[in-house]
Amino acid sequence: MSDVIDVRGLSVRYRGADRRALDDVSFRVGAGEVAGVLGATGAGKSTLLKCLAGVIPHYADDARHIGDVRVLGTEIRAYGRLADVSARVGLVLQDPEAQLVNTVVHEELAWGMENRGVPVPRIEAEVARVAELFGIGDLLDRFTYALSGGEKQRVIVAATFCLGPEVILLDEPTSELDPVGTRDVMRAVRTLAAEGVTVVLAEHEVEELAACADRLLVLDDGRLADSGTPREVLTRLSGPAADYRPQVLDLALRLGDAWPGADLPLTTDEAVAQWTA
Amino acid sequence: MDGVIELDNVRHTYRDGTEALRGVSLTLRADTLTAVIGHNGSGKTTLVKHLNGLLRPTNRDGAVRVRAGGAVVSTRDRPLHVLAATVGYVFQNPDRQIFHDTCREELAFGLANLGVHGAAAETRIAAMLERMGLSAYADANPAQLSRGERQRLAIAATLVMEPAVVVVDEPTTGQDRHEARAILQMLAGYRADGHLVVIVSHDMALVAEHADRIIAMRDGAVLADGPPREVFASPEILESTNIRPPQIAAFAARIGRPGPLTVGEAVAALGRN
Repeated sequence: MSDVIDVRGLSVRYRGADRRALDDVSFRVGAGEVAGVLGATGAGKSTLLKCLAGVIPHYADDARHIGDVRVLGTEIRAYGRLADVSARVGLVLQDPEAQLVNTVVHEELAWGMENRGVPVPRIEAEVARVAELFGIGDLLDRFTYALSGGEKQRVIVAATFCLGPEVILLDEPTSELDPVGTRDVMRAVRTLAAEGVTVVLAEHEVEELAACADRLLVLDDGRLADSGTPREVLTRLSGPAADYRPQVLDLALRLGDAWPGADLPLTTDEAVAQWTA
Repeated sequence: MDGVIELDNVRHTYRDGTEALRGVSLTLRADTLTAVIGHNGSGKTTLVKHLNGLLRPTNRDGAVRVRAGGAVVSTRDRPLHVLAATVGYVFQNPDRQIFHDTCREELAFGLANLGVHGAAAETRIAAMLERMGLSAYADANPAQLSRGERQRLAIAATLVMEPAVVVVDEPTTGQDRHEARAILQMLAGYRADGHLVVIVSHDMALVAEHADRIIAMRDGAVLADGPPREVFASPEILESTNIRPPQIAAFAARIGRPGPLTVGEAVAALGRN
């Protein structure tokens, strides 16, 4: 499987900062994978996504980076300008208000395609298909400002998907949402993956993330502290970071031999199945 | 009146016709960490905005009474200076209430309004910044802090005035796990000093661990009211409020061993067999 993202020795320092925001980070993400990025506030999660999106170096003039950031086979500096990256890499931010630009959901989904001169019949067909895919068909005629937080984020993910990117980056898309909204957004992430989009997702909601990520990257103070499958990484977490463990995994580890399962559980379903087997 | 705050048949209908509260009666007592939970739009924020008179009941027979000093006042009489000294309120978005150039000044402002100046004020400010893990930022501009740090600053600026009641809307939004836990521990400590702490929260694991009382809202009414163990043990309540219990509580219930709310409790309950 070819690597869609291949980062080697990436370091970033913001102007005036006394330390690096990212420090010698290397990792790869394969085509169609979902990679989750964990880390405390200030660990470098947003900076990493900005590099993958080409915002650093093409837009931000207050950050300097060294190392290699290869996205879809091309080094990020070799993309002529930000628009060349964003044609292929979509970015979804934490605050949905910051990215909804249209009044009605239908317009929001059609907007990017209109800007690219896609013929109207194709736009209509694509909007209908994507709305169905993300379960937002009943929202198409709603005003965007009247949506709930979870609905807004789903609309933004769908609108981003309408642009046909090969990679979508999401920066803490659930941090303002209640549990229902969080579940809806995570369902949208799984839809992206099923459609073959490569996803990189910075997130605090580890229980949801563990269930849908192929691999996790753990950032600590700008360094890549660990990476691997969710089961490997969450089991290895130590110190304050152990707080990120799903509670059922924590339980199984603390029970040790008294845990009946042969494997360690990440989700409630897995834990129940192992306990009652 | 035997609580610090009493709500009596409180209804609130916004001007656009939305019935955000449909008759809520509650007694809130001191020395309690009370968590108001419910999905977006259930009336949580409207409810807590009634506790300090930011909103008042829109029905004539509804009332909110607050014990302030030796007296009991109704928020309907708009004794805003009395209420402000008794009930501190921290908004969900900290940027709505931070407006000074340094963290120290942010805390000094409230104290000055209470007539506390000079060395006495400095001592309280230093202690509060220390408690919130913000000592290093005493002279920093709040704009340079992270979202999580600004949230802690907004809470600190309220707690430094030592109100009998503090209301915090979504104290853990924008915080990572570690910061969120630290904030809840700090609020639990303020409760332990004999105060009433009311939070609005979506973080069920932290609520289960730290709250004494949970008020679950749905469609503007109180659907459940009790200790976390009671509220999280009822699948019907959780289902109808769209609330997911802490993962460990859900697991324990599904294997037929309901009760544990934290991993520690589950280890104790399940480790023996």
